Amino acid sequence: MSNIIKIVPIIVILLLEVAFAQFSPGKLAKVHSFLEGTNNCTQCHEVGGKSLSSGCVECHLPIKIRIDQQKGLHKDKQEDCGTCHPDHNGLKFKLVYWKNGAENFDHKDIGFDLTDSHQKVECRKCHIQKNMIEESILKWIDKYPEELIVDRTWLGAANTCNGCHEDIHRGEVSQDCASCHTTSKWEESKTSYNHDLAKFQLTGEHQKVSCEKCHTIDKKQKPAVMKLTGLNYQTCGSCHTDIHKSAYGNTCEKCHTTQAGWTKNLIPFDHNDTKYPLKGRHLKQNCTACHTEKLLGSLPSYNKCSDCHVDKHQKQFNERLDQGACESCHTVDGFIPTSYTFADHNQSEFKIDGNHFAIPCVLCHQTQEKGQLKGFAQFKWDVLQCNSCHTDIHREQFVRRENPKLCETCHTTSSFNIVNFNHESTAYPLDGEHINVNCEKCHLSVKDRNGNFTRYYPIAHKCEDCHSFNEKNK
Amino acid sequence: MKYIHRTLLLIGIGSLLWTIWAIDQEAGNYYTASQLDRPRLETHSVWKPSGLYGHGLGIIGSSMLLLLFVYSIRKRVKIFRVWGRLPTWLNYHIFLGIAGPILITFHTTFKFGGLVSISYWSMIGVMLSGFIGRYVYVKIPRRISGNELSLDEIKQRKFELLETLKKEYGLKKDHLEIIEHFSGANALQNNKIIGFFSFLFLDLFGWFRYHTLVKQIAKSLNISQNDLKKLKILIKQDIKYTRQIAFWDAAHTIFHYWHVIHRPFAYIMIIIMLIHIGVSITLGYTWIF
Repeated sequence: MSNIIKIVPIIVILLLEVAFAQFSPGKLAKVHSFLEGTNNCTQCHEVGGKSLSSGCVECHLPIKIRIDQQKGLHKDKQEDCGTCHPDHNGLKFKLVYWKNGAENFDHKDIGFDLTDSHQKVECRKCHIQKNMIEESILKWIDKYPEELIVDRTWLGAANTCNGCHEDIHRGEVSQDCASCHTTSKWEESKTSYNHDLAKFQLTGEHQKVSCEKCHTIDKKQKPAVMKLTGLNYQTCGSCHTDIHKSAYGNTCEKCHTTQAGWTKNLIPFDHNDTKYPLKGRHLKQNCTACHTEKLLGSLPSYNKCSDCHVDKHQKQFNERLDQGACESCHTVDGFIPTSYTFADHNQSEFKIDGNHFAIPCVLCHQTQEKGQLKGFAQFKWDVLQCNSCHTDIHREQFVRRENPKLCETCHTTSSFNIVNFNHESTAYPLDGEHINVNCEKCHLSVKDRNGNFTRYYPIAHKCEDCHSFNEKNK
Repeated sequence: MKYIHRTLLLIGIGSLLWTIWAIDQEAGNYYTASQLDRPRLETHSVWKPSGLYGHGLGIIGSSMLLLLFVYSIRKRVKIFRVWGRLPTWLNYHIFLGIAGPILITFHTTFKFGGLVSISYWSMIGVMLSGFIGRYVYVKIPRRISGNELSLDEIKQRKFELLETLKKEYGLKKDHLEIIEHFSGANALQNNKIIGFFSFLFLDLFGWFRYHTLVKQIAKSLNISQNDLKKLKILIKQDIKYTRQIAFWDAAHTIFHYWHVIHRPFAYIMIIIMLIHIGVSITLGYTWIF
């Protein structure tokens, strides 16, 4: 009986204490407080197994998915969840613990390294519901709305640029923002874009051109961004003003490269492909001799030589049947010698014969010192007479006879000195002994202020004008 | 044999002190950290209650608590009475009753909650009541074997002692009255159970006047210095007998009630501890096994 009396208080004390106590070794953290109670132990704890994990991941399913997928911070977690997230440490205990603070978490550990500007961004700038895309996380958030998971979880945030950043390119370009932008100063990072990935690859001087030159900014759109797609890059003229005004076609690359000096250092061009193959002296000319800057707007005209060459004859031949075509006298092998022959010359008004064969052209076609042809050789005369070239040594004694071919009356082109004059045509026909008298017997050399000359006209033709009637002079 | 047990106990005490020192060295920072900070410490994994060391301390400590009951078995089961002297077992019982709670306290990491805290506080209760029990235990005169002396036996011993004092040292009736008065026997006898506190007071502070008492008696007897030493021992023994006789009834009454406290706490402690162990094993906390 006494033993029973002793046991009674034990039982009473036990019952009282058990009634107010539980097996829990400590209060659960606030977020798990709904699991308090002896009946809930196995909600987390696995009977017969130490691991908490199977119990944990029943609720924390997104974590299980990430562990299974070896993804994120839990990618290599094999141990009990309680190792890192020990519970039963009181309501105030934070189950998620960041040794150096969440803001100093080494984001590289989850395979998304924060660099440059990203390092300065507050965690919750990105880790907000708007940026969460993982379905499992979103379901989790919806499943436990009262737990305010969205305010606590770091999971589910998109790891693409557009996950957080607005796509200011409006989907016009690839979602691979990193191909153009970096995290340092993203708006200035466009130069890092590997343009080789584009259909239009940058070479030579194109590599130095600022992007906006081609990718113009459409300021009508907000935000104003460069036009990255829909650019017409097929022809150079899409960006460059065609100073040739399409005269050379659209195949700029036949002559130009993108290298420095592209306007001058042209690709060797086979002019034979053109309508004007180069020959003779033309082959030695610089392109710009014909394709001068003034002609950049169009192809040089090549129908006439004078399109390029200065007409050194000052249109003197324009009245010819060939309208002064240069090729009638000249070839591409040089301006001189001319291809104009005596035979050609004899087709002109002025036939070459006699001593004229022996004289160089320039003796007649002399460069003029005055007049309209000043500086140019004369090839056309209004009145073509001997004195056009020759000096009238007769001091115009015969001009008054009004004979246009006055000189030919006496002279031929064979020799000036062989005079073929018919004295019968004069007022003093020769006869008798007069026929045998030397000319200068009658036509004496006289002198005036310009010098000596032979007097032919007027001349006295009375006998006493020559003869004296003394014996001595008979 | 006596020395072997003493040596073993000394080794045990030494081991306990070394363990406390080692824990302080290795986990001092852990145990002094706040409850919220401890899980953040690297040492948490081993020193937490389910950690390698923490759990080990719990297992060793609870094993000690289980071993405590060997004393009870030895004391109560007849067939075990041939196993050594009861006071020796009591010494082990006391050692285990101190060492076990200390190790278990480290096992708890000073976090006392839930059902198992009942076991813990019961253990503390058992331990504290053990101190009281031990104190009352020694107030009951016993043989060397640990068996209690009867009141007549102790009175006989006192009588023999007084005869020695009278005959060999010449103590007079006055001297014996002074000793009787000094022992506080009247107060102990009159106060009955409350006399426990009187006893405690006399033990703590009464001995300050003891030397004055002995000198006073010795002066009147004019005895040699050598005899004085022996006299001191005899007078001390006389005072002890006198108090034990005076406190005899009270001591037994207290001891009777003490068992009612000490044992239930021990049972509660052990039952809940076993539940705690069972739950832990069920949930997979099997330490290194």
